[in-house]
Amino acid sequence: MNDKIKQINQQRSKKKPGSIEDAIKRAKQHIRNVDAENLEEPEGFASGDMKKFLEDSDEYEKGEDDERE
Amino acid sequence: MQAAHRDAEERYTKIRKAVLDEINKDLFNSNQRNFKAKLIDQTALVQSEYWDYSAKRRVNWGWTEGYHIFKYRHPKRFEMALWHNATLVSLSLGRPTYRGSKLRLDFIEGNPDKSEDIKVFEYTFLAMVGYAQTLGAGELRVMHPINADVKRYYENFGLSYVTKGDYLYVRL
Repeated sequence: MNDKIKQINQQRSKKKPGSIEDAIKRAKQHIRNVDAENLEEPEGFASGDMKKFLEDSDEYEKGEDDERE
Repeated sequence: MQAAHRDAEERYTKIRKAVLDEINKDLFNSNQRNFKAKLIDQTALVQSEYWDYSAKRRVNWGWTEGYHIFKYRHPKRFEMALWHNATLVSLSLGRPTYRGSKLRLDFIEGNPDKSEDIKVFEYTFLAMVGYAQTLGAGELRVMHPINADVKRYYENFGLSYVTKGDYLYVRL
């Protein structure tokens, strides 16, 4: 199951990059594949740590981005 | 603002608008015509300030300050304000990682008083995938779910949790 859901477009490596529209279609298919179309969102739905970002943006980004490795 | 920064802001705003245009087409074609995806503007930020009065709100950050700082730092950012008729139902903000291989969703919040049948993450996810496509990013990351319910929601959406870094991801 995890292998199935971790990669939206398993054929991507065989294809040329498509349009935004194509990407959205693939994402919608992913949502159907994992039966997420009718998932209830939790009350007070939110993500992120904006307080930390506002306190010290440099520190927030320094500590959180593995692309600097 | 330096010329290079301004150029990047203009260039990526065109891309952001192109993605939101596609999202709006999809909303229209899916018979969800009361919804509209827009860039974050002053009208959206003013509406978001009313969320602070909701007993259902789980966070206490200010979008106005956060957006302006984030916008200045990240001209390549992802952003979306989702509207249901005249009501703002969500704000979201993210950015590509430094090498551009991943697109992060740093902050998202649904209007705490939106009705239960209004889902905001699905179209945020679609817009992020569209934006990632244009940037060539191969992975989406959702940073810092605020509680276990939200984390479980993302997992049910097909994202995998990574403890180190406290984020969820899906490869594209």
